[in-house]
Amino acid sequence: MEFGALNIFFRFAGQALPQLLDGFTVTLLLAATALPLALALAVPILALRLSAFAALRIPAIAFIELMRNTPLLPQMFMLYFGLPLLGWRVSGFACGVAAMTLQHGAFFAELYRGAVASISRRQWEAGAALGLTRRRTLVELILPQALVRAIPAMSNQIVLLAKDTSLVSGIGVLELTLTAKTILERTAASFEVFIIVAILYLAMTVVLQTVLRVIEHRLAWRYA
Amino acid sequence: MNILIRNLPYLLTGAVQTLYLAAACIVLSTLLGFFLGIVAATAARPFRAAVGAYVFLIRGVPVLIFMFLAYYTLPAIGVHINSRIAVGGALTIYAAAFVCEIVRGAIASVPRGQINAAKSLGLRWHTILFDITLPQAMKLSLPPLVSNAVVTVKITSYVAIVGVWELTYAGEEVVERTLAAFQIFSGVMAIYFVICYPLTLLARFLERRLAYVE
Repeated sequence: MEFGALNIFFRFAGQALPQLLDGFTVTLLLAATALPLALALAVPILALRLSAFAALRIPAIAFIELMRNTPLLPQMFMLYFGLPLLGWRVSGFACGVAAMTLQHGAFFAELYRGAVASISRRQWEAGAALGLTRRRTLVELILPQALVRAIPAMSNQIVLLAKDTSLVSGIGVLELTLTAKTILERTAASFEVFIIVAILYLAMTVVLQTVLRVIEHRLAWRYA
Repeated sequence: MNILIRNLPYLLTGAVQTLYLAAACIVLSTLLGFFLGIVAATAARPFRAAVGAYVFLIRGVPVLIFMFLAYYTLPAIGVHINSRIAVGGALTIYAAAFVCEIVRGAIASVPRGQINAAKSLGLRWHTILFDITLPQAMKLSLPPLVSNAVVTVKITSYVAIVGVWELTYAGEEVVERTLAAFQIFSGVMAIYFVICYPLTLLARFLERRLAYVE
């Protein structure tokens, strides 16, 4: 009996796997596009957030709070249904990447800010005592240490971003989740599909976490 | 702006559903998560391993997958319940994993000396757990639990993809009818913001007070 069930599983997996792997490729592409964009967008947001001018700082705070306190899905829908009305023909993929970049960019900006703030004042004073400019102190003393501290929290956020790619299924992008859904509707073999999809998502998130842990250890070895 | 005002009552009806769903999920996932967190921090190895596997699975797989699993699998194995309850259940089980991690971490950070002192006084394990460890762990875990509640409110919007009617789904319906995507989804986001922001501020306040007490 056991082997019979396994046989059925493998036969089904053999049929569904190519399709699911195609979807997984799109999921990986979504994550690989949105992640660097979000990490990069966080830098100018942080710069505005730390600005001494209220006219720059307040919009940045408003943007961060808005992004952190509203769900990704309505943001994605707004872009997907709204941009064509402005005459922009944008693909679901691009809307998904844009929405993920905006939302996670705000989160990363806050993570960076927390990490920089967690570095002791004495480090700044030490930099000044050595005759370094504030900019060099920031770049050579503060940022490397802040990065080591930021990585565990960033690792969590990066995994959340990778998982958020599944929401793009809501705007018709045939990635892993939507592929799984179409197979589910056709075959009703939900456990089989679930097992394969869970393994694929876990593979992605575990690899991401492992890579980040290695980076953290390397950086900690060098700077801390 | 007109279209938004005209459809605001409809959106608010959706917001009420979002609030129900979020409140139920937050309460139930907190209870379940506390239980699992206590198990993960104190129970025998096989139980700890089981909870660890559950947390690993939940943290590595998108919540939507669990929602689809609940939505399609339960009817397939002959369980016919309201899809709202099935999907809400999936969300609760998902959110409970994060509560579990918060509680486990909080229990682990209660100083070891407290427990050793309690043991040397001859207190029983349940007295130690409920009178020594948990009260201190509760205090530590409160701010992250409130932050987690914000995340849970945000995740309730994902049920719209599975086809459960709440605020985001209502917004989508109105947009399909009126095509006023920017107005309507701005309104939807404003409603979410009104729900979430007070919770965020509460989490921040609790965190600051905790830092002050310590």
